Amino acid sequence: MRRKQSRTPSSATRRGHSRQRASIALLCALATASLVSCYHYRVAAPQVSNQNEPISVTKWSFFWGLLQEADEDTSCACLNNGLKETTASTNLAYVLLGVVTLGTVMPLELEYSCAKPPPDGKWPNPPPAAQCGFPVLPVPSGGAPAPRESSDEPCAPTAPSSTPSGAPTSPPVVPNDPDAGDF
Amino acid sequence: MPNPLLTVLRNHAWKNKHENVTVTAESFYDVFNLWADAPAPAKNDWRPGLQGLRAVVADAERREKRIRALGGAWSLSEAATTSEVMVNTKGLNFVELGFRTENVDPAFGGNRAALCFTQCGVSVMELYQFLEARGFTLPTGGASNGQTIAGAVSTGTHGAANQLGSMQDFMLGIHLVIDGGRHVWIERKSRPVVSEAFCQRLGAELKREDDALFDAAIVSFGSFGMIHALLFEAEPVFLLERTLERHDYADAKRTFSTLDLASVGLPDLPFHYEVIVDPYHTGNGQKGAYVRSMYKRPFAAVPPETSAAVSPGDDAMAFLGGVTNIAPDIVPVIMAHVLGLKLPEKKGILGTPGQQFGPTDSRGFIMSIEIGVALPDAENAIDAVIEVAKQFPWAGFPAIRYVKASSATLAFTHFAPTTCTIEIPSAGSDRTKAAFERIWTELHRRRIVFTLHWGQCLRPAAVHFPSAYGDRVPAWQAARRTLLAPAGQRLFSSAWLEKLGLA
Repeated sequence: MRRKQSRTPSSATRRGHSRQRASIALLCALATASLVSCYHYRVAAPQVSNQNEPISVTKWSFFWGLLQEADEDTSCACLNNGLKETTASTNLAYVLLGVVTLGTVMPLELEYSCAKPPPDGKWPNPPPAAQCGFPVLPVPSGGAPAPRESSDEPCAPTAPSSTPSGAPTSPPVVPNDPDAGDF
Repeated sequence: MPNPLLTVLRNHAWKNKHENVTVTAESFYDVFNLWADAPAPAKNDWRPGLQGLRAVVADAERREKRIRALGGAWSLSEAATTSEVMVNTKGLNFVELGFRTENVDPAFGGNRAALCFTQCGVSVMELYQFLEARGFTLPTGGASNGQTIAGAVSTGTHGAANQLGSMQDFMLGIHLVIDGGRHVWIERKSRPVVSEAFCQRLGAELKREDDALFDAAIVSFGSFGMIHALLFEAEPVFLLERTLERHDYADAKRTFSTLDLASVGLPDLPFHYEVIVDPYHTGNGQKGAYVRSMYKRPFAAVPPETSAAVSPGDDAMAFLGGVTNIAPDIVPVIMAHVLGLKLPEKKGILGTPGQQFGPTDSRGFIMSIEIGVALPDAENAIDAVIEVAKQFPWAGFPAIRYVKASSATLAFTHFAPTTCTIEIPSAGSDRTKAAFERIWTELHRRRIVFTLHWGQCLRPAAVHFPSAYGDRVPAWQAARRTLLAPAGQRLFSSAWLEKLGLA
């Protein structure tokens, strides 16, 4: 007589199922990783803020680096400011292309964003509008403030008028004079 | 007068920082504090930036296009997007601390030396750096610092300042570029700050007839006009002493609706109280609640903390989302490891607010919602999230904070006296999206009235609005109509606003 099979799987069967599930999960993970992931390398200035949204370019290098695309000129995009962050990325397809062509074709993706001067800094002179094709839009008349007069004198060295209660007496780094600025 | 310098990209494909929102904008402008046909001002100046915004807004109005301002690209909602005209405002980062007497209304009772005028594109990080170098700081900020001040305020960003409120709650004035070539300075009638002389210097109309317009405009995600600047009173710099300890979930749960923190070993309510819950380890002895507290301390110079040498890769979150789509059984194991690594126990770490709420290293495809509920509902609402996680595991976790109720008309933190916020950052995936739906359904099933953070993922339809905001929505819309002509209302609207029924 056939023994009636138990509805509850034995612990060995359960272990087998969970191993099988783990293997499937691992395979899926590897497949997903290879499809969605890239290799990223980043140079960044964490204490600097970006002025624009990141700009992506793909650069090509040929014949083991004997021939390469021209440098990316950022003067129009960054208005003569420096870079805040650069990310170099490659992916499985680029790596395979390099292998298949024996290194004669090697692409790389670059993404960069431009730095902006700090709030108390000065913007550099931008490149000429004609060089970069900056658009000119008319400004509505009325309600417009006059261009800044020469009121750019540095702040007078006066301590802030209030300090935190119980704060140590070490001096603040930059004195602030409420009477020295625009407002 | 010189022309403001602008750059433009046509049919520009844009995505937000967390890669869950993409849009192609017909015109994508950048504005700066620079003139196109005159040398750069001797120091960072606000005038070219204001003129640039006015020019772009007027051009969109002429061409009958809709326009949205973009800040730090931090929002996980579509608040900053339109397929027509988008304007990157990050280049407008003029800040001035301290006002002269003639620029302050005689009725202003605060400290004019602490008044801070900040252009819209200043990042929260820049503001912390600027203010803390001068002996001041922000009264409160968000959990990280990548947003611009205008983006953070106009979406109702908050920290855990349970005695202070959200970022919009310490704002005193807002400068908006609106339709018809106009720009206006709005304040509360009950809290006058600036003088007519200040508005003349700015070239703006002063609007201070009541409190309602300010309360509506301050959290309006770009729908009342384009924010050019904000005004607030900075606070003398202080330190926060940070501690993170793990507790059993049951101990943390006792604090959720009471804010009696004895069960987690805290003597009283700190400046910042936050609980991050591993929803898959809520049993006794599992220490599934990560309790972060920050107490205010007097200022002293402290060195910044160093960051880790190796961190998750840019695609780690997309990878995690993809894997957990396929094999949700592994979520509890992964979450325990991720939280354990990201949240090591630490005691007594001192830092200024700018140091404590530093840059986030999270990159890649992230989705997140943040739920606001009244304090008495907090325990039930958190329980609902954990219930969903147990039945339908996904790669996310709830982080609970408390904020004083906001006076802004559409603040998602409007529940008085204290709003409990439940943020659920998650790896981006279809499963995460499904989990969010289940959470909303479960909250409804439990008859919990809730709001959602405007800068995080929102429900596709605003079905929770009637219970969540009551007559606040018509009040907000009425205030908008008093400021903007019908053409202006369309100019500063978007498909997102229409979908929410707010346009």
